[in-house]
Amino acid sequence: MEQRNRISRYTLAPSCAMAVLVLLAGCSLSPLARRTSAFATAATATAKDTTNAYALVEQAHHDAEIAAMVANFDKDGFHPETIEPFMPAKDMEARTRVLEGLSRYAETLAYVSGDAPMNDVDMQTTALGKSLEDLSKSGAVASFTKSAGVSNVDLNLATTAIDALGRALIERRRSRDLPAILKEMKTPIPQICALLEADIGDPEKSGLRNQLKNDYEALKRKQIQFIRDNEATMSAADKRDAIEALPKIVSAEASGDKSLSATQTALKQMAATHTALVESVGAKEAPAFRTMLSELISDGQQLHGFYAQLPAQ
Amino acid sequence: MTDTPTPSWQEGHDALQKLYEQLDLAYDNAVNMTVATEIDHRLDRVKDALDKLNQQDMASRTIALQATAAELVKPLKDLDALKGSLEAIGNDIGKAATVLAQVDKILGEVTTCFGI
Repeated sequence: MEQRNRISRYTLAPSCAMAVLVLLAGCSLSPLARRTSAFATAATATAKDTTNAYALVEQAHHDAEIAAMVANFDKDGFHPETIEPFMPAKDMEARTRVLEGLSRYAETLAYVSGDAPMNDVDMQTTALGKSLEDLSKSGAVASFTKSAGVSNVDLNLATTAIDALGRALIERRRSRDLPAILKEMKTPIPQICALLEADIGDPEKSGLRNQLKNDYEALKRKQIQFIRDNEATMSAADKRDAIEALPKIVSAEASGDKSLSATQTALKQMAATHTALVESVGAKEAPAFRTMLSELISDGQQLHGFYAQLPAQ
Repeated sequence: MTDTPTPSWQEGHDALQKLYEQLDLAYDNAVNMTVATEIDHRLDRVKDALDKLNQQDMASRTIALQATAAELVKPLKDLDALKGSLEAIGNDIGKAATVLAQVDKILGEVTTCFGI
């Protein structure tokens, strides 16, 4: 009788602790982690599509250089050294590093604030639960577990408690470290976005948009020059094909500029959303952040749609 | 004698861009092949100058971009450390499961060996 009471005492205290841990785990994903995770997912897509902006302009520049080389071949001959990328290697490297940093920030943030660490704990706890169950059934231990009154229900409770403990530890670590990391990025993220926005520029004034416009105009002009130089010897079908290429160039220019413009909008939105995220640290509700996030997601989807429609490079 | 102020980068770019647009229009409207070819050559030169101005503009932000890239190093390191510590929690539970499985295996061998 006395032994039964002792067992009850021993099993009751852990059961209470388990109940507390299960409660803790139930509210484990904090509002900040949830917001951060949503931001990180949208920011990952924007960072990747910004990389496409540079590739898009480089491709148009390369095409214009090749078209000029073809048009001038009879007069100048073949000089491959004259075909150069628009962006010198040193300048492109700085942008690649920044974009890689931005992508890494967004991707790691997505992991850290998302469900992945919790899912990992769940998976490992399931394995632990199975090991405990196997062990309790194994020959020598089975007799001990039976005499101690350890049932499968107790084992399940222990496994649940470990899972809850793991989840609580993750959330504790996140709520301790995440706000500081977000604050460290409060200044660099808008700075990076502003510099990249300035890189994209304006179709008439500066930047990638101006370069794209000028390269496509050159491409169109070289195509016209090709037709003018060769129309006397062209077949009707060849001439039709060459002329049909002209509206395609005009349409590619318009699509390219739309993509660059959408990239600028998404970068601006990413900076504003990140600032709102940092300012929401400690707040349970963050309506300003939610509005900005939905705009960022919408801008990102539009941007991705533009790049997806562009011909494969 | 008054000094003529040096045009800003943007003023220089605007002037060249305007010239480029005007020449491009003239090229589209040229009916004489010789004239068109002459305009085409001028346009190539204007475009080369515009390319260089755009490259200068890009280069003017490179140092600022390098500086912001350097500012990312510490937060990214902190973020990686946080990721590592979150992964470690799952891994530690995983290790416990592995240890228990090993204990189970050893106990099985011991009980078989001693017939207990």
